[in-house]
Amino acid sequence: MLPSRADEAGLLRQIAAGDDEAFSLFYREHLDAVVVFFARRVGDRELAFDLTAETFAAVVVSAGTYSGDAPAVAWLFGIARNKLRESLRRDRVADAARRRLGMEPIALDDAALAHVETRAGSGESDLTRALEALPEATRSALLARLVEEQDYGEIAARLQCSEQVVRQRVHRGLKTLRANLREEA
Amino acid sequence: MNNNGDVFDELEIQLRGAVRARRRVRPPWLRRGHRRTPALVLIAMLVITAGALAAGGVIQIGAPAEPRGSSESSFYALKGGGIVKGTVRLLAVSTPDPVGGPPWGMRVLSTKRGEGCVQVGRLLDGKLGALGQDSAFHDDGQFHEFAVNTFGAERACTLLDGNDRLFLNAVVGDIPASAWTESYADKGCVPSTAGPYERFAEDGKRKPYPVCPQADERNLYYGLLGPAAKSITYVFDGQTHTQPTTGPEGAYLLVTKASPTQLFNFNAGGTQDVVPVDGPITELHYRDGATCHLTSKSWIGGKYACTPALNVPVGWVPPRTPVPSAAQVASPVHVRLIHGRFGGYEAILQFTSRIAISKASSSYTVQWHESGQPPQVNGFGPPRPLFPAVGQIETMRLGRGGPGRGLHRGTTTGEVFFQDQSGPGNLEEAGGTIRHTVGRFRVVVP
Repeated sequence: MLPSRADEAGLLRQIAAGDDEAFSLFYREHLDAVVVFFARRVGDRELAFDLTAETFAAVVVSAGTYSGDAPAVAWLFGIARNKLRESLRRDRVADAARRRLGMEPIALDDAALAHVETRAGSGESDLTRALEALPEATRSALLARLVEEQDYGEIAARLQCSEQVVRQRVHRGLKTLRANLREEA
Repeated sequence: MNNNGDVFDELEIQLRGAVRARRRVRPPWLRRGHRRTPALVLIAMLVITAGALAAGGVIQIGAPAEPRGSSESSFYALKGGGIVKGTVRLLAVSTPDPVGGPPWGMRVLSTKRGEGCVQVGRLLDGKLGALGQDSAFHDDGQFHEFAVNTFGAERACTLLDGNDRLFLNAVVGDIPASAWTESYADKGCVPSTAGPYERFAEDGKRKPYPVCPQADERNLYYGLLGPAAKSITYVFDGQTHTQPTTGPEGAYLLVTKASPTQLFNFNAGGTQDVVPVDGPITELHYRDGATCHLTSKSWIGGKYACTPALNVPVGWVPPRTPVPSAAQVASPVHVRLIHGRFGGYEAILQFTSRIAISKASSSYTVQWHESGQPPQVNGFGPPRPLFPAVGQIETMRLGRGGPGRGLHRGTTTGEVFFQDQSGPGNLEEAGGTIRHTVGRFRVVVP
């Protein structure tokens, strides 16, 4: 079960206070989702690992800035998107957070890359299956809004429909997901 | 080094070590409590300001609320082709705010692309606008009339029917009581359900926009049911109410406080439909005595819209613009590969538009299939031009940005379509949607 917003805010405060157990809980809760997020966008296991490492390092560096106004997962994916955008702009993954923490580079051999592959595949969760079951138009709108956090105007232009249609698809997609996940539970 | 353990375990060990190390180096000014204080003070100031406003009872008129060069401000000009002169009208709808202050109202207008739009905002002296509160307009406490090309607190558009009438029902959540959502660049708070992107706080380097106090967030349920409508019945807090619709537009507007746990919110959007769904409205009453009972399946539209069946809104007339045939839109599609910005290849599609596209409800779209990949719909950005004249060259791009995100190697095949949604409600499932093939293409990506 996902921790509540209050629980996650508490975890991040503990991380900011130097509690590595709290970090471990947060890391394990969100690791698969972050790896899948990057793997699907960059299509490269090494790059996906690098971006994941830098994202969680940024969590360590900036846990104290989490205000608790938005869900922690939204905050985390805000960092992830920013890292991705930055890497696209510079054509390389920044390692500022890892350097700041004094972390050693992790070399990736074939076995390590296989682990990344496995993690990336672990996104085949109930949620992923429920998402895949949505109509294409609904899924596109839902992911663009909730994962990529594009604004409605942007999504409407991309999907060539009105903003209200996008809003409706997002809303209905969520309703369907909620109903389907309840059925599976 | 990684042969025996999961590389992510190794990462976790390193990160845990970094967390422990930071326990020793955290500067005291970052300790819990210090950083929250300014936010608490700010919220307290907001509450005091709002209280003073309400207590004062007199609201001064400030500068007009103009769009600030955002994509939103260009909406009517670009997608709408401009606003038709003389069509901007304030409706005789006035709905009290659940907390107080000026009532809420609605304004309608038509665009040159055949759409009608509704804007919602606060009403003062027969004008629609926003209030200087909730961080909007520097909390000046004044009333700012909406310029015609703003969105207002909320804006919904759909295709006008054959009699140039607007039929539309919308639900939107988490709107600030200020009624100002046009441009966050011009300040104003964002709901707590907004993500870091909307809060402008994703990288922690800039000052994020303030979060609206929950007490200042509203849900809006509004619509135009047409001249045949007489009244609506809705349920608030277990109490059933019936209220007449307003004017020949059959307008209604309900405003409630938003709940922090509601499903539709800033992130999840609202809905727009041929009948009012996902809201508190349970029945629509018409002048001829008919009643539409909204069911839990109403959102599907068509035969599910109401009990008894109501396939289109009462009084709605199909648009009179003829829809082109498949033969009229057919045109050879040419494809060429270019090097993508991030490596790999993108495909450029070009064809001659055999028809003029002048309505917002018509467009070209593309569906393609890359070797070994699931089908993709829509290109990389909208087709250019969006509204071509007869004989104009239309261009579309296929591919995605990002390292290794060009088209996949192998054969890519696809089809360009002309699509027209002329049914009520601007929704594919509401019927009236046609799709003709313009042409097919095939390209081998090296």
